[in-house]
Amino acid sequence: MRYKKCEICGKRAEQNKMVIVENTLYCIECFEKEFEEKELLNGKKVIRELDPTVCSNCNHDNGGEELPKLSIYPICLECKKVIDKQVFPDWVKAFIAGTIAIIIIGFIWNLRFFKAYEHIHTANTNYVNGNYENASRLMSLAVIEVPEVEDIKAMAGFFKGIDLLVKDSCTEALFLFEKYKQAIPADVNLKSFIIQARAGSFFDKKNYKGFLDASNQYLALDSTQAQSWAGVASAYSCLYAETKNEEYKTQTYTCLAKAMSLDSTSKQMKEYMNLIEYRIYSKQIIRREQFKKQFPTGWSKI
Amino acid sequence: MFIPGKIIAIFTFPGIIVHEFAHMIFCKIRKVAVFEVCYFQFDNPQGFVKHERTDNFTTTFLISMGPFLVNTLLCLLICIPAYLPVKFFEIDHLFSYFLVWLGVSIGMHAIPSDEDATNIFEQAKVSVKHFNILAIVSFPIIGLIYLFNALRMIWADLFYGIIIGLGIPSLLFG
Repeated sequence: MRYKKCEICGKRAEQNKMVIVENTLYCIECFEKEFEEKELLNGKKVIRELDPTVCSNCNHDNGGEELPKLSIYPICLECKKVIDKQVFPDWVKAFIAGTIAIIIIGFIWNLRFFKAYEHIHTANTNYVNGNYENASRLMSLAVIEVPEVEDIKAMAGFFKGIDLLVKDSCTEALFLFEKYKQAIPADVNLKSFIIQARAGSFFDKKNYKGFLDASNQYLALDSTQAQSWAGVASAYSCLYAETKNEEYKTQTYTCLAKAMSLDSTSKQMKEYMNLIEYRIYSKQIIRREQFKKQFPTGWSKI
Repeated sequence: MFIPGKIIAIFTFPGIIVHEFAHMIFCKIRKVAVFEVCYFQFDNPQGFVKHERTDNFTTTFLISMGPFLVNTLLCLLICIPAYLPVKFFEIDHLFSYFLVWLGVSIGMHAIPSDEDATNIFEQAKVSVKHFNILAIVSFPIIGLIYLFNALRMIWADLFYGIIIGLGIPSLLFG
């Protein structure tokens, strides 16, 4: 225990029982006498003296040796242990550790959902940007992560179908569209893709009447697109090439004129129209890829 | 629907423990002596932290607002992994629902108590005279805390937990 001398009465007193007011050291008796009216302390800096050798909690006197501090308070080791254990007990440590462990386990346990979400998100972006092959591949990866979700399977099937449709594998595309059509959301406008696939499938099977029917169905859905009219023109051109019936030739040109009135400038339409004109001229029905290979810079009558 | 506080406390006890832990951890960070802590009890208050008085406004603010930061963050971190399977992929799994319960329970107790708000208010009145920016900013926050605590009777705490635990993930993941 430490003692200090009161600067007012000069008596020695225990340090713990002294107060500093505006840098003047008072013993308790002098402090109480001097500041009997509490208002006298207003605006004054008052500090309670703390003996660094006496525990603030249990008053244990550590002799001349200073005790460790809890904030500004000298605390004996025993009290520190008790307070530490009380303020942060083992069960709370375990609870907090458990909570952190649950967060980590939660992320690891559900990692496949994050991966699937990322694949779906990127697949959708690819689909919107017209990269159907990538969209299909990524959606298939999502299916691997969450095989139990039927909707994702259906979307993977749909994306694969679109990819096949673009690559002119219409029969396979039609199979996938038909397989998943119940689970595919209404906003993807599956009906028009099914008609396109059906048209392509009829073309593959050389059923040009069916091709014409499907193309007309597509035209009925949307007659504002050059593609719709060009599809019907293509079907008539196939029928002309097959039957040599001039009526089909006339119908071909009527529809081509409609298509050209809507779009005569895009590369895709120019190529398509060129193919139809070639078909009418040569009376040969060849696929688009074959035509491109045969006439890489386009066909023209010599 | 009125449900006694004790019943709510039992069902959301992790939130109370984390709330008091947040006060305590900010006391440790700001080197404020902690003398007594009750992490959970059935009586009112359901938990408390007794600590040394401090004249530093930032310290008081952080200690009082600690649960808002810690509980909100933990609520979000616990609920995010559960959100995708439950809401996005619609897969029922007990562990996911456990995570949602734990996260929302913790989120429900994020808002500081009226006593915490009073602690900030008392010191803000002094600190604002010294043009302490944080003290000025704290006044509307204090008002919101009092308002929120008054709205607990209509389940504002549960709504907060749900907004943080499920609303924010829905904004992140759609």
